Order: sequence, then structure tokens, then C-alpha cells
Amino acid sequence: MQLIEKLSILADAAKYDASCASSGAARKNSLTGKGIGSTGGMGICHSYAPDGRCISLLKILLTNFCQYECHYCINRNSSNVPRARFSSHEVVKLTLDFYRRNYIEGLFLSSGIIRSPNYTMEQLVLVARELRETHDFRGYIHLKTIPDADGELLAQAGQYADRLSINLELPTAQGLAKFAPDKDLASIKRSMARIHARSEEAKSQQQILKVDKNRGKLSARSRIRRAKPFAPAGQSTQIIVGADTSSDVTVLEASASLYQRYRMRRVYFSAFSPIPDPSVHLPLRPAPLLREHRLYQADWLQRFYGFSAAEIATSTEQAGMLPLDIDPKLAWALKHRAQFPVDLNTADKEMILRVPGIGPKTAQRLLNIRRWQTIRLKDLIALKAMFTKALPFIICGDHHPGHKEPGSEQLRQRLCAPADQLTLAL
Amino acid sequence: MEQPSLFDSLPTSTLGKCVTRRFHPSTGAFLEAAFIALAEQLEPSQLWWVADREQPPYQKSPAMNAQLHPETSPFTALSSTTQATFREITQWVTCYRADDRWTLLYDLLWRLTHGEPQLFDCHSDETIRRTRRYQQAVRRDYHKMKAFTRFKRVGQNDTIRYVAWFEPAHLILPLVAQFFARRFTQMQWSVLTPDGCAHWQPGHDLSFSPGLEFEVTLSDDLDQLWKTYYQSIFNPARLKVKAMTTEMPKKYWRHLPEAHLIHDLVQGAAKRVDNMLSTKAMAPTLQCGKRPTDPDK
Repeated sequence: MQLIEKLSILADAAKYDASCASSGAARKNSLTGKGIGSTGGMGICHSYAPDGRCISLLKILLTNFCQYECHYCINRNSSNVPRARFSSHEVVKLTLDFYRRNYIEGLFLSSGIIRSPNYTMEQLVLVARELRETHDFRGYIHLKTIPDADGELLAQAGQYADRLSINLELPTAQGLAKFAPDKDLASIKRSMARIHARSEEAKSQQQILKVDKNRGKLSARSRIRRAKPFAPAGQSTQIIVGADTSSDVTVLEASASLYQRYRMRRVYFSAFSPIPDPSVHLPLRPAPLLREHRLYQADWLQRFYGFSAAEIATSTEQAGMLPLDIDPKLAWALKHRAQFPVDLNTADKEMILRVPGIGPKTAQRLLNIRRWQTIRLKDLIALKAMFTKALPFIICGDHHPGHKEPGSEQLRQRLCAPADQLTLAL
Repeated sequence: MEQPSLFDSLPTSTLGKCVTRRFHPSTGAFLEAAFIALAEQLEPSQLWWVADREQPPYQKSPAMNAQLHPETSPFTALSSTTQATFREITQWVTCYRADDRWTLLYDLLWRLTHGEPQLFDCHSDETIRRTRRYQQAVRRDYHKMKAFTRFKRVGQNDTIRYVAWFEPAHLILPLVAQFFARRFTQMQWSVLTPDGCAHWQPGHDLSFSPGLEFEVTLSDDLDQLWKTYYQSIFNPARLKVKAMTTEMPKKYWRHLPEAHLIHDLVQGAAKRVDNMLSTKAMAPTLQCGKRPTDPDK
């Protein structure tokens, strides 16, 4: 089979993985060394597909042959998609060739399970090792981890990769048992915990080394334990939304616990989307992309706005679903009118962050401004806060919502977002 | 160099007192000139900034600037954070392609040192907003140039060189060239732009040559593979054209080989989804063999 044909099959097979981030890696470059590549700070998106997703990494499967029968997956054992397999050398060459032309930040490599989890994981590690050791490649590597594989292989993967990930795919144990009968929740969790523990260990070792260096001495202890980084960009995971009947609350609880227990950098949500050759066990009807968008907004509220999963749950409607017509922050504010209006000149940051239409950046800027002057409406306009959304919820120098503010239901009607607000950068 | 706006609001009597300052258009040289003017207590309205390529570029490290007149420079009286913020902003804003950038920066410097040291906190102030807008525009351009510069391989064997053409909106070629020098240290490459061209040879310093007046079109055999990848990674069931064009505006498309596919991919998406939705699910037959039982379990 021609390389181009393989690429077509194995990229197609990889596109249901939402993650494409190339951020968070340690700062490295090729000024020293024999190879090419650099990472650090912000990721770079080298292209965008018409599905709005960024193309930052060469995202492919090593092979889409797979012994597992996960019903939502295009590569499941019983699917009649064309199958292919790259040799590790082909992947290495393709990565380097694209990288040299500045098409990509690096490689995202996943695989169907062939022969055994250990064998599959070995093949993935082989590619990463060849890139790092033979070619001194210093770009970004994201390796998908096979949960049932050995801890030792995992350790090797973390040594070469910037980021590791294991997809949870379904938020509940029942869902997993029903739709991914070959996967084992316990071993997924075990692997996530292992990755977390190892990266914590690597971080603390590097800390020791840094302290010793600052003291001007490299102790025997730190010299022996040459601190090796372990997946410095951490781990991420993905949950499919809408393949099973889990509610938004269930999904958000699952993601909150993933962030908390394993210090996930990201939990991606992927609205179940129709695949060629669908399984009989699945709804054909795709989940609305708007639902995925609302979940991401709720995710943002947890990560950057100080909301807890339980608080977000209070803004859901029947059956634990987030409203689709308004964003979850506005929904929360409408259910908690008693806590508003917030006085922007006196309230603490925590509360300012809860005002609809005011994001973390604006909140911080308001705090800066008010050290020197009273905040007035013109400041909000200058900061490009979402003015009409914020107005009923705030007090400032020349504004008070007063008694005439409409009831929550009327407000909601007025503030309903137009349906095309669907562009959230991932 | 034209700066008409400077005079619009000025009473004619001040015009006679205007002082012209010529400097090489680079961050270091401008900062030096600005610090000297500041030490001489020249008000922004008196000054006439003329960027002039004929002037000698600044040689010393910019960190030395404030030390030029330590006793008289009110700049050194500012907090170190404010000083650092000003230097950081200056680095970006001096790359902004508009002649009023020098006036804007000196205005900012003047106000910071004349009773408004807190100015960076006042995000709704007009000068701050304009400065931040310039800074943001340059940073975005820098980011997009790092993303969308596409190198094409030219030459054979020992003479292989990777060459790219790009038209940046702002004057960021030196910044981007340094980025590529850190990334593609072991490659020979050139980035060609209308403002100038940067060249890299392993083991040598970055070198620059004058800009090109005509666009260079190059091709590379690998583009076919890249287009195949782009086509395959696209999911037709998630069409979000607006999200794509926000991040990848059409002005960049000309030099992205994959952009020629976009039209057809968008047009064909609905039909592909319909086909998927109308496919009847079949009873499963294993295609990849049975899962072997794990000996450990």
C-alpha cells in the first residue's frame, strides 16, 4: 500500500480524538544538539480544518486494526473501514518531513490494539524513541497510552512524550461496560494515577535540583538522580458526549473528579458524531454541537472562574442538562439573583467573576483600575466587557439597575444568545 | 516621514519650538533617543520623531539605556515592574507598522514619569488602550507568521535549502527569524518577505538582505501528502466554517496549499453526513480477529 493511502486511512481514523494541543511543554530548542525542533509556552496551530478544529500536530494512528469492540469507534473490530498500518520508520519520516516545512508542531500518535496492549504500547514508544534518540527531535510528542499496558512501558512513554493521554470516553462505569466492553475502568484509572504520580515525582526531583543549583552546589544526591522530565505537558483525556444517556451533570462530575484526582491538564468533550458503518448499539442521531459547547463553557467556569461542579449543577434544568439557549454562567446568575447586583467598586474578585459578561481578564483589569479611580460604565465599554449582559447584574459609579429590573424569566428572554454564537476556541 | 496628527491640535506658537530627533528605527535606538529627550525635559508636543535608516543602529544592550543619565532620568525612579512593562511593550509596539508608534511610546513614557506612574493599571485610558492594541496586533501577527510560514524544499543533496515566502502585516521579520533559528538550527533556510529576507546557515549568525518586490511562488512534492492529511483529518459532521476563518483568515490562504481544498470540503460535507446517517447499521462481524485472552487474567 502506498504511503499516501495509509496516511489517508490512518488520519481519517484519528480524527475523532478532539485533542490537538501543543501547549504546556517545557521550553526547549535546537540551538544545541544535532536535530530540529522547539517547544514552549503557547502552542501553535498551523492550520484549521473547516470543522473549526486546529491542526497543530500530525494526528494519526499507527494502525487502525483493532481487537477491541467499542461501539462508538470507527475503528472497532467489526467496522468495515479500510485498514492500514504504518511502520515506525514511516511515521518518523512523515513527522520530520512535515516538521521541516513548518506544517506541524509535532506528532500525536495513537493506535488500535493489536496482538496485545503491551505489544501495541511498545510500538508507540518505539516511534517516540526513534524521533527523540535517533533524530534528536525536540518538537512536541503526544502519545496515547494503552491503559492495559505495563507500568514500565508507561514510564518509557513519559520519558519521550511531552503529553500522555488515556481517553475515558464514557463518563460512567455502566456506560463503559455497555459501549466499550473490552475496556477496563479500573486499569484506566490505574494508568491515570500512575502518570500523575510519576509526573509529580519528576517535578519534585527537578525542584530539588533547582534549589541545589540556586545554592550554588550540586549535591551528590541530585547528581545521581539526574532529574528526568516525565510528560512535562501533563495528561489529558476525552469524554464522548451523547453516545450514552449520561446527563451534563454526570459528565461534569466525572470531569471534575478527573481534574482533581489526576491533575488533568484538559478534559476534552467530543459530541458523538456519526461515523461511516455505524454500530447497531448506538443512536444514529448525532449529539448537538451546542451541547458540547455548553459543556466546555461549564468546564471553563470550573477551571478559571472558581465555580464548583456542584454549583454548576444548580443551574441545570430538567434531567441535569445545561440549558442550550443561554450560557451556564448566565443560567447560574439568573437562578441566584439574590447575590446580585454586584458593586464593581467594592466586591471581591471572586464575586466579580460571577457577573455574566465579565471574564477573568476583565475582572483583573477592573481591580487594577479601581485602585486609582471609580469604575464607571465608560470603563466597561473601554474594556469591551459584554455590556448588555453585565448591566442588570452590576452597580458601578454611574449605574444602578434599580427597582425596574425585569424578572429572571424576562431577562432570560432578552439575553438569549443568537444561535450562531458557536465559536469557542479549543 | 509624515506625522500630521501631531500638529492638528497645536497652537502655531509651539510649532517654532519643535525639536527633531532622528534615530535608527529599532527598539534600542529609539529607547536611547527617548531617554535622552526625557532627561532634557522635552514635552511630547515639542518633539518630532524621525525614524531614519541612515542613522547608526544602537549597539549597546538596551538595558543600559536608563543608565545614560541616572541622576536626571525620572524613568529609573519608576518601580522595576513598571520599567519592565514599558520595555516589554516597547519591544512589540516598535514593530507596529504605523508612523505614530514613536510618538505614542514617548507619550506613554512622559506620562509615566510625570505624575502617572500607575498608568499601566488604567486599562480604560486612551493611550494605554492604543498601546495595548498595537502590542496585541503585533503579537498576533508574530504568532500567525510562526504558524503559517510554509517552507518549501529547494535544491538537491548538499544544497538543500528550505525557503518560505510570507507577507507579515507588521515589521516582525527579525523576531520570527530568531524563532526559526531556535527551531530549525540544523537546517539551511530563508524567509523572504517584502520588508526583508532572513537567511540561516548552521553555525553562522542570522543574516538579512533587502526585501523582495515580487511574490515568490514555490512548490514542494510533499504538499500532496499534506493535502491528503488535511482532507482526511476533517470531520464533515462538524462543519464550523466561521470558527475556521476566525483563526485562519482568508488573507493567509494564498500560500497554504491545503486552503485550495476548503471549498470542496465544505460543499461536500452535507452529502457525506447524509450518507453516514442513512447507512443501516449491520450486525457486527469481527474484522480484526478475536481479542486473545490475557494470560495474566
